[in-house]
Amino acid sequence: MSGMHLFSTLWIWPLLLAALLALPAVRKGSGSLLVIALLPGWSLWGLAWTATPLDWHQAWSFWLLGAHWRLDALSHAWLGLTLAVWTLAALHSEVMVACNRARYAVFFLLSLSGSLLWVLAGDAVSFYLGFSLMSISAWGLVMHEGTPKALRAGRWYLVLALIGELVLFVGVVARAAETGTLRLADWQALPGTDWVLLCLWLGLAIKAGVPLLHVWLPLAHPAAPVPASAVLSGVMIKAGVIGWWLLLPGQVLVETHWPQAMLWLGLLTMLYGAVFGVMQTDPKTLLAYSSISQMGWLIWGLGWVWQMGAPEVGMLWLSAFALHHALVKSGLFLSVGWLKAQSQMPGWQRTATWLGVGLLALALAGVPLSSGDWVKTALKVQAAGVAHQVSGVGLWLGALATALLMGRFLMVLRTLDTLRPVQDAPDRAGLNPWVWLSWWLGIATAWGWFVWQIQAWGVGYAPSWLSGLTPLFVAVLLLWVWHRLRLRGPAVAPGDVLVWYEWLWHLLARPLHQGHLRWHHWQQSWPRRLQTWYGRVACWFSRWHTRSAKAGRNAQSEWAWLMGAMMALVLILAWLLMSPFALDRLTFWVG
Amino acid sequence: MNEVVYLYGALGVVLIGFYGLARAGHVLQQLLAVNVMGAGVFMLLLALATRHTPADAVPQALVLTGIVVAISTLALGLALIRRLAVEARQAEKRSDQEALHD
Amino acid sequence: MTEWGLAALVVWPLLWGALTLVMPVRWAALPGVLGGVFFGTWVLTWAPQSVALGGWLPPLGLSWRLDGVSQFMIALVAWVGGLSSLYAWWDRSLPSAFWGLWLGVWAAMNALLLTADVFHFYVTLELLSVAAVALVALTPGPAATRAAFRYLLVSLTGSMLFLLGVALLYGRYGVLDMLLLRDAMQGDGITALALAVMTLGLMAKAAVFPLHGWLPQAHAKAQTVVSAVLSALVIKAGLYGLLRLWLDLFAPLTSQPDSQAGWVLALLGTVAIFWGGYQAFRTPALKPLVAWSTVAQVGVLVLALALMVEATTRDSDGLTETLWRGWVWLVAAHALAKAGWFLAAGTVQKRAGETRLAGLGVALQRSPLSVFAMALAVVSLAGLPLSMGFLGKWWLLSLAWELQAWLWLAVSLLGSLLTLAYGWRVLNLGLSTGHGAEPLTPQAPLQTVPTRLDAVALILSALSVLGALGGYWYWEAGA
Repeated sequence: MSGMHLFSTLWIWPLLLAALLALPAVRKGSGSLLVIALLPGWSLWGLAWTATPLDWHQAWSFWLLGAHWRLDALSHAWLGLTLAVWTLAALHSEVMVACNRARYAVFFLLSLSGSLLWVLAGDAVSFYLGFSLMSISAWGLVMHEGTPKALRAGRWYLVLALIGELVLFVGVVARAAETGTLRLADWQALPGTDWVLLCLWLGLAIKAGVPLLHVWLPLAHPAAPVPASAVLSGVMIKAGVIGWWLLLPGQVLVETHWPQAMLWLGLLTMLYGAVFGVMQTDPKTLLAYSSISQMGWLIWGLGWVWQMGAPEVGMLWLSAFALHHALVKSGLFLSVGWLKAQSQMPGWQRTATWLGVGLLALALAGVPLSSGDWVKTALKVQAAGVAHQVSGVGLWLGALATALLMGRFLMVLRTLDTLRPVQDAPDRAGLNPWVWLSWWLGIATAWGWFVWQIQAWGVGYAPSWLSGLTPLFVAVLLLWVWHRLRLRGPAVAPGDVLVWYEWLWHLLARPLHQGHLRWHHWQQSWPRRLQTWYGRVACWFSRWHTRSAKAGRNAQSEWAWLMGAMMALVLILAWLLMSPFALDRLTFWVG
Repeated sequence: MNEVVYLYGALGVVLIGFYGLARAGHVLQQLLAVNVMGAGVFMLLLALATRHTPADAVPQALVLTGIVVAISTLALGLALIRRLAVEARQAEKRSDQEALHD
Repeated sequence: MTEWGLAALVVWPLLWGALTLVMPVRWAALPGVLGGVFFGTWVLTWAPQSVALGGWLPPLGLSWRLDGVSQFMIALVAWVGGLSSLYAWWDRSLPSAFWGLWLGVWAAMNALLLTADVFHFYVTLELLSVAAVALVALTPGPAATRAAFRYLLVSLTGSMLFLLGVALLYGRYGVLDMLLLRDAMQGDGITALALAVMTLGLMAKAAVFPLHGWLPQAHAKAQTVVSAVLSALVIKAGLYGLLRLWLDLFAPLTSQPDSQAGWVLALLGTVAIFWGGYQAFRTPALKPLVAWSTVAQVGVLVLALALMVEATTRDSDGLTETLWRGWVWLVAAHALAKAGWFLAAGTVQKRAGETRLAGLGVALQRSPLSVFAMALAVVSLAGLPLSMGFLGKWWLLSLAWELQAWLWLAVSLLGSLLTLAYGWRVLNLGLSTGHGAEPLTPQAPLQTVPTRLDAVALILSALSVLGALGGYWYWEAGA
């Protein structure tokens, strides 16, 4: 099996290329480097294509605490998804990232390496490493533009990502200690302590955009360059959900309330993203909210997959949804970049671009005969047996939410400012039709891949005309009414509850700052105060202080403190060490 | 009985050294305080040696070694103090000259 | 044969160091450095052994002992020391006295790591301090002299306390050899007092929290290489002593099931983590920031020691292989990262001719290698993935988990966050492109400093990250 060597080359190769960027000569070609970095990944994906049943393993016992990679049907699907999105992003980086390209390429490659590492991880440490490498390096992509807006987004992104890392790290260490193994396959079967599982869940939830932890998404997406936003939405946020599947013991959790909670959380996320999304005015922010809403589908999906008799099969269906969303959403993000450059395009290309945007929006809204409809219908059929609590009306509302968001997105797009060349206006866009064609290829794949999937899996597909079209009609009606009546919806700042967080932070920071000032003041003035407070009792104490003040900068009080601390510590330590024994033995060696 | 006096006396000397370091107002005093501390420890070792008849030779060897070490550290400390004084004088001279120029 | 090798570990650097004092050219130091690295690496292949110096057996004679801990520590000294020497070799601003003193520090470190006699331990500790103080005093100017003098005083006080403990032990047991002492050790008041004063003495040398006051000044004012060596290696001598005392020599006392004393260490470590981190976060200059970070990292190592002590009170296995390997790994991660950070910081400061962080922006942006070195050092110190620090944190957290010490688990995590916070202050300056922010203008023209100095810093930091590749060999194959 020649594919085996590729397991490690896959993610080491981008790292090597990142190191190569240290050479000035290589820096000029950083754009093509990004595409080259993906070659081992595609090779492995292609080699594994024909293997049935696909179950490849490789172990590196000498690496860290011993690493293990595996490639099965599930990770193959995720590898494909990851590669597709990263490739689109790599191609578009050439035209849509203007400044500081070498630095951008370094962060891009590091993040890519992490992303490819966790996809194939068979042990917890590899997963954690890949996950962290991906999220931490993505900070460099988020703050790339260096504008105040990007810096603020980068700061929030980094804060939340690092908190997530740490919580996840605690969870991983604790789970490893609890189960005595690092193999993810074992982790999925062994029961665990509640708070450990909660740590794992929470660490990943920040990435998955669960409401209240989602605040980084609407900030980071509009601030990042277009291709980076595509990767953020296409791959990174999904790492949260697949992480839950890999790290949490689904087979054990069936007995608990976890799956039910996930079902409801999923529904809540779908609607939350929609409600705050329609109030946005920036197309990329709106897309970020749409991603939150779509993550709701995946969260909901994981809820019922855990309850299934054969969860692996359910997980494959969920992966199909993830692929659908990854392709469509990254296409939509890139379309914002193309539309910003439309003034430089010939007429036919401009029309075609708008057509592409429309197709993508329809696919996401799940119009019948699109991949969106196919995968959503299939999910509902699969879930029918288990997820009876959240179905029917809930999911219909979810579909309506998606349709509304897409309609609103198109409305907002029309007012997109294309005259002022802002951050992500491509400088050479339209000049490179091949990249534009690759975007179209992405659209075609996003629409058509399910036809091939139907054949491969041998499943039927009946377009759901009624349940597929009604949300669409209702959404169009609502938006038309809104538009017609010139209703001004309430506008909400990107990151909604973020405003409260920042307010809370200032509320906390002020007393902290004041406390610091007071402490500083006290430090300066305590000997004087001591004199006035305690008068003559403290006289001897302050005397040496005044004397030392005369002696100049060689402050004596410090030495008094030091010696005092030493004596006190000797006494405390000796007392604690001695306490088990009789004190009268102190005189032992005298007698 | 004598032993007790010496042993506790030695600990007392160490404590006096401690106190001296805490209260000293001059770098020379500080250095001497540390030496007082050292003297206390050596006194303790010698008092321990006298508990045997004939007196234990090992503590004496330790004290001799210790004295050599203490002298060299004292020398280093004195050299540093001297440099402090020289540098302080230079700084004073420099500020005087600046005052003249102004 | 290896007896001669052991002797060479101490005698060889000392000899060449003495020669450079007579013949003040740096070429004279070259064989000493090369030999030090060579013997220090070779030591890894030697079998653990005890050697009675000059054929005199304990209790009368002195003995040296080579075991796993000292082997790895000696190798660490050799590698960090060797790379720092490379920096010093290229750094033309160093006076030639540096080489003699530095080789003296090296020899004293090796002797200290080898000795198995408490009095000899005191002597080597004192040798080390004298040489280290003199190294700090190499910087001209009253500020450095004052810092060196403070260092000397605290260090001397620490030595005196340690010697007091040695005297108490001799009075109680009549032997000085560590192995004999450990066998004779009993839990009583005198022994407890001895441990308390010796601990305090070593804590003063290692700058553990309330006794840390000398460190930020001494390390910040010293020459760049000196700061690196002091922070990375000399501090570790005190910590190594604490490890030996608490887990080896006084094990019968400290591993009593109801012993509470370990928590004093844990508490001090915790306060050090927060206080050091806080100070590093608010100090206005670069090198003091790195020095305060050392105070915080010493806290982490002391916290780890406390957890190890607690582990030995739970089961009577004593200092197991897993315990000391974890701790030494943590020490190595810190030593490499801190040496890299200090060297990079010093290089940038030299380039800018400025110490305040606010004035370093341009110099940082013109020193990509140094910024990269600092970034890697921060990654390793904070225990982010793919670094030696990560595996060290992993071990520490697993230990805390086994002991169900939730509080300390949280403390070490918060310590990581603090590390990132103050590391961020530096890296932010180096990475910001000046978009939107006020344009950065150099206060003074940049000095020309050869890039190879940045490269040496980068090698050290990179080792503190890439060292993780040796994790399996060290943890599994070695165990």
